[in-house]
Amino acid sequence: MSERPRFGWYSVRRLLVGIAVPLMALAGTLVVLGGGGAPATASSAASGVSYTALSSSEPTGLPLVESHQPASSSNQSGPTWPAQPPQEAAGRWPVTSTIRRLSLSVPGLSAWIARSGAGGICVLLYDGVPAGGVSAVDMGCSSPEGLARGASVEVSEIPGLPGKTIAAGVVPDGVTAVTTTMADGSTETAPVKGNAWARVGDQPAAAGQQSTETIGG
Amino acid sequence: MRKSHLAVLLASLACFGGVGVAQAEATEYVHHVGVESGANYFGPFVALFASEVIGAGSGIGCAGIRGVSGVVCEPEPGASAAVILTSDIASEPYIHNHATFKSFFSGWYYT
Repeated sequence: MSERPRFGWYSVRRLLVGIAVPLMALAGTLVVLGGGGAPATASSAASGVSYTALSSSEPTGLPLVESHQPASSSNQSGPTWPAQPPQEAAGRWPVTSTIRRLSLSVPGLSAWIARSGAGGICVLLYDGVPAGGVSAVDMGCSSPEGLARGASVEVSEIPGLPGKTIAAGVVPDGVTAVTTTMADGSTETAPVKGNAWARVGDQPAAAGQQSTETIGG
Repeated sequence: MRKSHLAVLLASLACFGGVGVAQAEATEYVHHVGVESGANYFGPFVALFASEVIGAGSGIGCAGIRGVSGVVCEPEPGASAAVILTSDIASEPYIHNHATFKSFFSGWYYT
């Protein structure tokens, strides 16, 4: 009567299966917790719209935080970003893994580009001026249908910058300038570099006016 | 699948769930509210780190946190704009209508 070897192939196979199953569970869990899993691709095959800035490999300079503490217990002076978008906002907010730093022509401002969970494009803007011990990142995300137009944010009534209006945006590859009609009827043209544009002034954009994009030279 | 494997799988999931990343809690403080041109709609006084506006009409809406942040406007009607702070603070989220006409918006805050 033969006995099965105590540590033979059968035991090894059981051990491997025992390891593989939890590893697969771990991988699945990390994908779920990873914030949507949309890769930081530079283009959308369906629309033909591309954003080279999404391919940047530079450090973002935007620390990710797991949770937000009261201002009195936070020692973070610069901007931060939630490591996970709120569950209810995951489609509208940036996919964390796609956030890339932008280079702006306006000193003192920091900005980032990202894909939204729903397939739109997002811009994040920090004005460099903490107020009351907290820093604020302003975010605007386009709808998926707005991917070809880009996204922008315009911020006014900023504590520490009275009377100033700051705007920044991202536009697809090939756009070289963005012209905006201001509230006083004048126009301002901002050059685009690396998919990004920005302006600072004392006028907000005129209500209801869409910016005009210049393509090529 | 053997019972022993199933037990390992369930234990793993429970373990990973236990160390899961904390996600913010979202509250929609107003849904499709009409806001006159240039007017504000203020939400409740709460602890929050983010305020978001989502347009439901054809006007451009803006999100702010009273006395703490600037007011940030949507890229396009129906899109999303939000201001996200480093820390939780006690204040009121609000919506500003940047359009020249009455429009409709939903407002969210996160804590």
